[in-house]
Amino acid sequence: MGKAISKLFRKMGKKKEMRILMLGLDAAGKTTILYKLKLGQSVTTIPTVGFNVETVQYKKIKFNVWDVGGQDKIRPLWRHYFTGTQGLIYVIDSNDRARIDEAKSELHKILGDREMSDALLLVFANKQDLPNVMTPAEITEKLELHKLRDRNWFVQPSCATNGEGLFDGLNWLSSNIKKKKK
Amino acid sequence: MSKPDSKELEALLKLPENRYCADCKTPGPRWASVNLGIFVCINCSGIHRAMGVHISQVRSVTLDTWTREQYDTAKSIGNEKANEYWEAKLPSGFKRPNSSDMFSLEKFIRDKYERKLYIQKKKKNRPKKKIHTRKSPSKVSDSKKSQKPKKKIVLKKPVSNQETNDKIQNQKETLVNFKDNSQERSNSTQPNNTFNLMNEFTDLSMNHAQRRSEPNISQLKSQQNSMQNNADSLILLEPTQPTFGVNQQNNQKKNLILSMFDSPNKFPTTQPIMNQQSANRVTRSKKKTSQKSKTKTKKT
Repeated sequence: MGKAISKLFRKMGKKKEMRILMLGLDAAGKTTILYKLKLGQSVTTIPTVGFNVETVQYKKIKFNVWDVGGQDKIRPLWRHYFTGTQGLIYVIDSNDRARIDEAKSELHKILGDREMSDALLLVFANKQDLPNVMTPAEITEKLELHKLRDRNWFVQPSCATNGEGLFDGLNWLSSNIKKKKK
Repeated sequence: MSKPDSKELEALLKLPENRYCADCKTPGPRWASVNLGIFVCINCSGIHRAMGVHISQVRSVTLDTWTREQYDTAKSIGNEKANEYWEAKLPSGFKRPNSSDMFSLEKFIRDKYERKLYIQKKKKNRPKKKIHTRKSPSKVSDSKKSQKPKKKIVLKKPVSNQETNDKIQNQKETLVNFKDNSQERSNSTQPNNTFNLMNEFTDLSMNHAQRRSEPNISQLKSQQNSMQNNADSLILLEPTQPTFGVNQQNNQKKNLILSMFDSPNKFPTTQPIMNQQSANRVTRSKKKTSQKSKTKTKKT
């Protein structure tokens, strides 16, 4: 047991990089998550027209996180960021029940792309601090994640403004990227 | 009903009352709150988005496709009527904050729409009424709820496709009432007025969008720089607070893991820590994953 743990720690000692693409409908909280991870602060954001990219160091892994604007007419540009993506962070506004179907169809479109076939899927069920939000289980169901074949996915409840759940999500990504390399 | 085209939307922006941001009066707003029926600048739109969709639903005039319903709302309300309602009791001589002081601007916008400090109570013909006839009734209660002070949240358990089968076996008893619950819940959710935006691209708008932000390297770099500059000027809203919810959850996880090493039989005894409802929800998804994994193993 002890040996296994020390082995694990030794493995974690190596510096690794991971390319992460963060997508989701507009106003889901992608930019707020990015800067909360990067700066540890809650920031006032404006709609992202284009993209933001930051590196976040967590547990000796360097996450290169790409955050791309989610407005309706700029979503066709998402595919230009797919190449080399190891993990997809898909952000859901848990408060926005009216658009969860739209979020579902966008997600399945992304996952259907050949370039994304090996990417891990982390879903942030964001804005959990707001009233009457959808639970992670409800979001799992509405996004039809159980229908996914050959996909490693995880739904993490989060609140970007106070940071809850964000590093748990990165933790899942970091531990699952290792599993793949074995 | 056909979706409004860009000409129709631009026509709304050319109306005298919509030439300035509804909140900070910056000229030439390009964003809108489609449920409040107002046009705002990009800075104010960011604050509107932060309040949540139960208060304000932000769309871009150029980068989003609107529904006819949203267009009608914006057409029938507009900045002037909206402010007659939302700023009815705004003190005369009130110094309106602008984007140079984002902190005050956010406070003002939250006071105006979230806390409703400046509305005239019992006023007739308020534009808000029109909005609510278009939305589902539950929206009204949502906005009322949002006025309550924020409680410390405890996050629900995450869901994944990697749950162990043991866990599921141990929790099968709790699954009995699941289907009924889920049906009730799905019936109670508000009617879905989602539209399939992706099918509605016009060639024109596509070209426009691509011209705007097709990632070629020099553009990417300049955008990146500007974004970084933005990040530098980002404003601190609240100091980081200790996250009790997560710590609690972590402790639970830790206990769970420790108990597993101790003796596998102890595992189920840690379960009742979760509140029953969330446990139910989680287990249902676990059940599905277990079925899936079982079928997978059968295949192999």
